[in-house]
Amino acid sequence: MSPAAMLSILFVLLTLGVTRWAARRQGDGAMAFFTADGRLAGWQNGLALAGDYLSAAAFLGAAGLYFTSGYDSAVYAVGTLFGWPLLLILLAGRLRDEREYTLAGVLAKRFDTRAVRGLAAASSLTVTLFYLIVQMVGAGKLVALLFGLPYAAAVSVVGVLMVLYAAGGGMLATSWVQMIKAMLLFGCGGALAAGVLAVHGGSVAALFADAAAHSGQAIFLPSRALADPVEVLSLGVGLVLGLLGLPHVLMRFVTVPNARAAHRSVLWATGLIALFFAINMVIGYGAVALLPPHAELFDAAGKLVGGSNMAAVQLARVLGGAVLGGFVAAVAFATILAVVAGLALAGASVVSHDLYAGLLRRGRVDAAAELKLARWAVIALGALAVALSLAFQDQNVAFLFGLAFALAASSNFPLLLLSLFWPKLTARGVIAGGIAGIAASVGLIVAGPAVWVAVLGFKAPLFPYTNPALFSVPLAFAAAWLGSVTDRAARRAALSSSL
Amino acid sequence: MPRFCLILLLALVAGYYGVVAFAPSLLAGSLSGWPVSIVVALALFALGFAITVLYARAADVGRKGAK
Repeated sequence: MSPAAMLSILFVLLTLGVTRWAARRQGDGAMAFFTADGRLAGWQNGLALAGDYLSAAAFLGAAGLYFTSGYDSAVYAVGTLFGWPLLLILLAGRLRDEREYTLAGVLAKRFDTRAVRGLAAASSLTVTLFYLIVQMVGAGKLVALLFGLPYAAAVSVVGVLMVLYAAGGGMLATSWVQMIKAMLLFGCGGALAAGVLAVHGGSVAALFADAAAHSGQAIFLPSRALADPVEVLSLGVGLVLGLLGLPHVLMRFVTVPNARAAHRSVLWATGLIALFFAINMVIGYGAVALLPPHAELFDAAGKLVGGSNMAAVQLARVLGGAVLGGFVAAVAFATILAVVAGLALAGASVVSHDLYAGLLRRGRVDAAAELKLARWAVIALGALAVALSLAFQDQNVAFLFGLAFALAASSNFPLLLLSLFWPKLTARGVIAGGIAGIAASVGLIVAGPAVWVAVLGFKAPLFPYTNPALFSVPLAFAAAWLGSVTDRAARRAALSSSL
Repeated sequence: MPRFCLILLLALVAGYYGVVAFAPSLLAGSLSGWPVSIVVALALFALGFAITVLYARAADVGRKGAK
């Protein structure tokens, strides 16, 4: 058995044991299932947030982007990281005080209408499902590549384990899986970075000089992909604000006992993610410096075998042979499992809490029935994610990731922010803002190069930019404002209540 | 303090993406063997974390005071 397979099996056994333990400790009802009874400490939730957020894309994808495009990866990292303090300042404490773990739940506290609940649920579920499909398709390809499994088997294994964690142990088990994975990720990243620095005599400057010797000084500047100023600004808006609308991140603030612990969670998560991004910079430029002399790692076209996402794994093999390579592969596997489990839980919360309990039963539902439905929702989402991953296996699904982030930034974030901070927001404003955000982000991505050209095969895009957030976010805010200030019914109601 | 943190945060991120978008050449060059662009990115990581520390402390003190 290969070291990668052995370490992955160890991780699975450990985390299944944790899931069994969590299932026994789980309190009654859906609230306990989705919030871990609010008993996590700030540092635990911070570690779990980091584990939830640092996906395979943030590790292998970012290292691969340093390898192919150099500094672009750092531009992505800065935007992604700055979402965290913004999340802390604008939302973390308030979301904990609201004691609601879904967007629809927060909005319904002010506007308990079917339309608002339905819109928020649809937006959250779409974001989660798109994010899940991207992760599952990536997981299938990565696991197939790392362990030599057929794609369908790889996706099925990931799907079954995801369901076991999320349905079996709820948020408590998922949080512990994410914490364990985060620690493994730091161990793995630290080992790789230490290996890279050891080769360069412990000098970071020597590493950069080595990388420049192979790829030139241009590797430390934004590439041609970031040459268009509007595209760069739109990318920045999407990266920073997208985080503030991701349902699986937002729901984690109810897993802690108070707002202080929610603040501590973000503090820990920001510190850990910043540290990991710095470590990944060393790994990425380490790959730039150390992989090119190994001709056996490249195919006839000069491409890295397995694609650029394998840069960190190949670097590990160069530095530490099969054992370190296997460790990195196992950590990548753990990374995938932890992220998809969190996504499945977020999706299930929308189905059971928003659609069933909120929309269908109007809150008249017993906790046991909602919990039962939550577990079935995880299983159904798992099956749907596996089926869609099989259907999309040969498609370019990268646009779905952009779409999930754009939707989160353009629909979920404006509605959440306005409902928490703007007293004049009305239900009509929520609907207008939500529809404008969804329509603009989906429409502009479909009309843009990522879908119109890369997927649909047209020669030129209708909308020239890949990232629509610079346009769709202000449009959503403007629509919510306009919908609210022109809401005569709400004004009449306010007037009559004041009289 | 929250407003200061928010303004500082937005100024930093807007400034960085503004430089990447309109004047990427400002990121060229090196400081003691480290590329300027890398130093800037690492400094922003550190500043982002520093803002979270600053805000979290101020918010906790504010909540205690409110109680």
